[in-house]
Amino acid sequence: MIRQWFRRRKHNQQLKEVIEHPTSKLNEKLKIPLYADFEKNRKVFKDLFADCDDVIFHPFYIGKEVQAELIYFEHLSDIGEINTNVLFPLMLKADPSNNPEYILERELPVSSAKQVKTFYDCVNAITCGNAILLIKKANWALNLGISKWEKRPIDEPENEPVIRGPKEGFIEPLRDNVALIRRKIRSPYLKTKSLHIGRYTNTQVIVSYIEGIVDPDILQETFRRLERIDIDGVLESGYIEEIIQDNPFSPFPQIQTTERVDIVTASLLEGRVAILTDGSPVVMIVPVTLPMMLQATEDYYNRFMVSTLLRWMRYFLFLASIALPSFYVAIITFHQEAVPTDQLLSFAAARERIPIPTLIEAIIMEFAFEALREAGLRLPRIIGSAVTIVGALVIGDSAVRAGLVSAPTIIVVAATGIASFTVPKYALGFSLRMLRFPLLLLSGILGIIGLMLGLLLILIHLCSLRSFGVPYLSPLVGQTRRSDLKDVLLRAPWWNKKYRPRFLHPQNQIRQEEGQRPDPEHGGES
Amino acid sequence: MQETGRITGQQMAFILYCVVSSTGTLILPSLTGALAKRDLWISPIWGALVGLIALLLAFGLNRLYPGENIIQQAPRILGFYLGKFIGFFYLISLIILAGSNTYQYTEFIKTVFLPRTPEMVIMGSIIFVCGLAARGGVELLGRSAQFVTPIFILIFTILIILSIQAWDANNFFPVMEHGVLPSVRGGITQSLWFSELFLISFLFPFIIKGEKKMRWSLLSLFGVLLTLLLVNMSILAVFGIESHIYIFAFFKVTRYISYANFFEHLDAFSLATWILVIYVKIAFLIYITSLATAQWLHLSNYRPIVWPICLLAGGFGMWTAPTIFKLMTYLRSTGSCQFIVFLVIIPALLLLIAFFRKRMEVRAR
Amino acid sequence: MTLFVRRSIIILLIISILFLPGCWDREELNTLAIITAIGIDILPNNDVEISVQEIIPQSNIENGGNGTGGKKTLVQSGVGKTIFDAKQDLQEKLGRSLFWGHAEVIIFGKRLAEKGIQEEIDFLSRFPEIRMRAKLYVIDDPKKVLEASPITENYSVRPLDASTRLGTQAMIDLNRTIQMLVGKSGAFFLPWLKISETSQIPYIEGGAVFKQDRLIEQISGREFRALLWINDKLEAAVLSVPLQNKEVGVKIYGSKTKLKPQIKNGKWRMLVEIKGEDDIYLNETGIGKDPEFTKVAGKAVEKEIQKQLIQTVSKLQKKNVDAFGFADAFHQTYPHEWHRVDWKDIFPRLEVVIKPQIKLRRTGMTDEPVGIPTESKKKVKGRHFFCYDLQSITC
Repeated sequence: MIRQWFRRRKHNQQLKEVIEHPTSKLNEKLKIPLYADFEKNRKVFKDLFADCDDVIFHPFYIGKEVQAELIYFEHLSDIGEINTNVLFPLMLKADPSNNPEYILERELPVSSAKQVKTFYDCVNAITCGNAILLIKKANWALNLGISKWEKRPIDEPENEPVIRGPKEGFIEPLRDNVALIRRKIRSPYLKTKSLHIGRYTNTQVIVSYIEGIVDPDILQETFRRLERIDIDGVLESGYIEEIIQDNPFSPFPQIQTTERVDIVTASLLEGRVAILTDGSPVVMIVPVTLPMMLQATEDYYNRFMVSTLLRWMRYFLFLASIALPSFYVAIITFHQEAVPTDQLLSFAAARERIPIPTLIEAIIMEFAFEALREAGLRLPRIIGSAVTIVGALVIGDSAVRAGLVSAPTIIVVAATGIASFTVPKYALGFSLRMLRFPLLLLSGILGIIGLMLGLLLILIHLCSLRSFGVPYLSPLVGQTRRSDLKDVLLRAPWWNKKYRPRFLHPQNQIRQEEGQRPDPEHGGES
Repeated sequence: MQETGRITGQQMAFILYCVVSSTGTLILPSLTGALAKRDLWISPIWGALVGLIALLLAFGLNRLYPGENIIQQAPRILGFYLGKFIGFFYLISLIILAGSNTYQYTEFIKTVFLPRTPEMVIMGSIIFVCGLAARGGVELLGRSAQFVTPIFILIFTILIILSIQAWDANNFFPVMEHGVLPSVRGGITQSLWFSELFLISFLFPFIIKGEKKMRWSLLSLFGVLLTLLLVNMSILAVFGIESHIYIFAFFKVTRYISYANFFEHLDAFSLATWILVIYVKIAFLIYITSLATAQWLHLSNYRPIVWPICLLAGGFGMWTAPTIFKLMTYLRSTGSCQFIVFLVIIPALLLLIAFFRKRMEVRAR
Repeated sequence: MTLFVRRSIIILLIISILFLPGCWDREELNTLAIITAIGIDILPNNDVEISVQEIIPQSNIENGGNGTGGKKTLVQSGVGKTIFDAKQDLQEKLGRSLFWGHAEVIIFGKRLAEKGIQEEIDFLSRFPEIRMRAKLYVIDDPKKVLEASPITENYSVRPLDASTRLGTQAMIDLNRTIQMLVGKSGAFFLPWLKISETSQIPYIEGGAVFKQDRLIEQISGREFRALLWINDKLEAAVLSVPLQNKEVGVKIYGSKTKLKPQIKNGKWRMLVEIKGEDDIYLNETGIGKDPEFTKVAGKAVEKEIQKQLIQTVSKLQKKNVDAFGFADAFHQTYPHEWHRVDWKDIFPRLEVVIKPQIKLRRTGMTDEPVGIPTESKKKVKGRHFFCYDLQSITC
């Protein structure tokens, strides 16, 4: 008796604290069961949602006798559905003599209705736009899924356009995004586990994976890292990304982000884990490795020979986008003999009247290029590209005429810029641009040796980097399997892809059976 | 406890390949050529025999005391004090090895590329990079070796192919004019580098179980042999019998390449790829020196002593040879004896003693 | 966080260590004097003079693409007791630092060559910036070549490449020179330059034969070609061959020379096998479509080659200079016999047999003499359509 009193006292204390000091960990403290007392429950909600003028407390009587109350946010819930499917049947048709469970099972035509037992669940439901139905004499409440809010239509993600491939991209509401994935993988083994992150935003996060393919260790690690998060708000998946990545000081992205549904689906099939965040169309995929970052979606849709060629071109441009300006500076200021004689003479002529050292020149031009790019990003889209192109041409040409910079430097910087745009994953492109500057400095000091040492430092970093336990350079380092390399050094045709990426340790390594190669002479079978 | 990383057999092979062929392409041909003259290209074959012996010794010791390297094996075989003494000798030799390799790198870069840059900067920069890699542990070393070696091999092959049009086959003849002796004498110099394959002993404990160690190390030996053979052949074919007057002879060959009037002056590129392998070598030497020192002193972690070892290696590099001539004389005389003793003769003695001890133990039982 | 701070401080320190003293070996293009050719000669007072051809960088933008106005190159000289002193003297006279990386042509003066060039060769092979590919030439006065400014070229020594690309001449680079110098025969040869009066373009006029490191004989273009031919340096050659008192012009290509030394009964003999193919480009004889003709012409071509080569060989045999590499060939094939004799005694009396095997492949666009009435073929004297002048071909 005394113990019970104490417990209740503690219970009350906890609630009071939550209401008065909302900065404390709201979610945990609200995880207490509802009272049996209807009035008391009402009071808790009234206190919690005090000064929320858009919350509606709608008291009514089921079958004109049993006291009940409907709590919902006016602009988040579908009022029409409340009227026709909740209030109308309950108030007018229900038979009050039956017990509440009976009424709800037989006379409430709302599909998504489920019992909730704690304040935590109730508050979650209300803030998500659902309605909570409190009924007298019941120590539970009913969560009615009648939320409804405006959303934009599903269209092609502007940042990741493709020529061949599905043109649908994720949008902001989480449930639409989950639906988009489900529409592609029609299997009960596609799992979607939900978490809530953010003290105030209480953002729903869904971890999606395919059971039987995904490596349980990676999955466990993902959950461990997500559950550790205690942050006051999650407005974009970037918040979560920075908290759960392996090495916070690395310039390289260790989590892949995309807005494309097909990329997420393909990743799930490879045995990776997708993390969807409510309110953001950007889905995170873990783990990721550097070679994966250089693979474009369309590689898998186009003919494999073309894709292989494109891939190699991309690898080359990847290197160029990191090292081309530094290489140029090293050659021009240290190893002039490496340039063919006539070429060197024209370089010399171009540089003859320029007082600035080549290194500074290159840095200035790189800076100018980045500035133009950034400006182009913020401008309205229609004039953006035109302005940047014209600006670059005019500025570049006049700079050469004015003797500020030499033409070869502009060519090199422009080529580097183009090269950096060929990196299919935008986040990686950023890292490369950032690394370009220290490399420039190094090669300005020690020439090609400085450049190589800089590249080696990057290599050392990449070799020690992991993404959710998977080495970042896999499958190029570690245990190299031919089936894995086939997707990096080549793009093996689909009929030849027997295995999933095995460096991800999928539970089910076999992607498909052999003998998929078309062979018309033998009736399609080889 | 000290090192939790594990490497694959392939990574081990790549590390070994880098260890021998990085500096084996630098001043070694010149040293060999001075002794072997026109039979320069035969010498690596004799050297490879010594390399094979060094490998077999490492395998033998590993079979008797698996999971340990020579620093740990020595006290078990010879008893605590004598074993520790031998271990100390190994530490000194390892530091000298690391130092002399760093010095070769520095001297090469300074002579050919950056004559006005202070040696401290050239040496300091490579040691800094290699020290960072050494701190990353064996896993990082294995991965970076795995990443850079194929690039090196590819570009090396291209360079050799491009150089073929400057080859003059007459330079090879007459073969063995003065009998087999000159090539064997050159082979002794070559064996100095090949015997570095014994350092595989330090990698054995970290290799993932079930990997085919023997196969990979033999492949590595074969790769090294092929590389040095091609290097020496190209030098002889391009520059003839007097090629040994050029200290960095293979580098001169890459400079000499001229293909279609466009692919010429390739020295900067060959240097760039060569840095990749010398990095693996120096990082590996610093790593095993630190690891061995930590094991010798029974420290729980080798990482804190990596930087001091780096400093020591730089100092020893300067100390063993103040000029390249001194270094070359050292490598021809004292150095060759020292390294042969430390990489072949002592392990052989250890193996012999260990073998009899084991047999005695079995008999006693 | 403290770790982060500490790390960034360390990195900052390292960066500042690298930056504070400056960039040691950095050279901007506009502080370099780009050198395309080097001339080395000796002054009457026995001082060495080194002259270089420096490019004056001209921007195409400023003078609108036709940089014909100003001079394109500048010749500067330095003098010193040795070549190294001279180089230092030259460097001090220049405002810019000398950049030798593109100096692909090295020209020795006649006087220096007569005195011996060992010291210069040593310097050139030691100096890291000089390429082993640098080509060596000899001329009376190297400055003349450097100062020449042909209108068609950016710098005067550039066209020297062209004739070697045609295959009718060969360049001798530093590496080749050193190898010949240390070879068993102890002799080598370099091309001899001349400057064309009309175009100011230097071309290979003949050859210079060195014994040890001294010039001892200047040879004509024809003899130089023979020398190259025996040394297997020639790929193509154009010959006018007398046949039935008329001339037949052939172009030989794909020529390969093999030296086959033989020692029989203590008699030393050198067999020079030349294999190649040829095309007929000129036929004065008026014989066409005759199967015998190819045989006869082939014989004549081989005879002509034999004659030319033997002339050169016997000329040098008289001087006892083995510039043909015969010594190395003997040494390679007969190492044991080689060590028992003194080559100086053998070479002048060596029997040299030239054995050309040239196959006639094509006859140009026609297979008959053109411009001769059909009925008078074989009778009418042929006209000169065009004439190959051997000397002008070589430039």
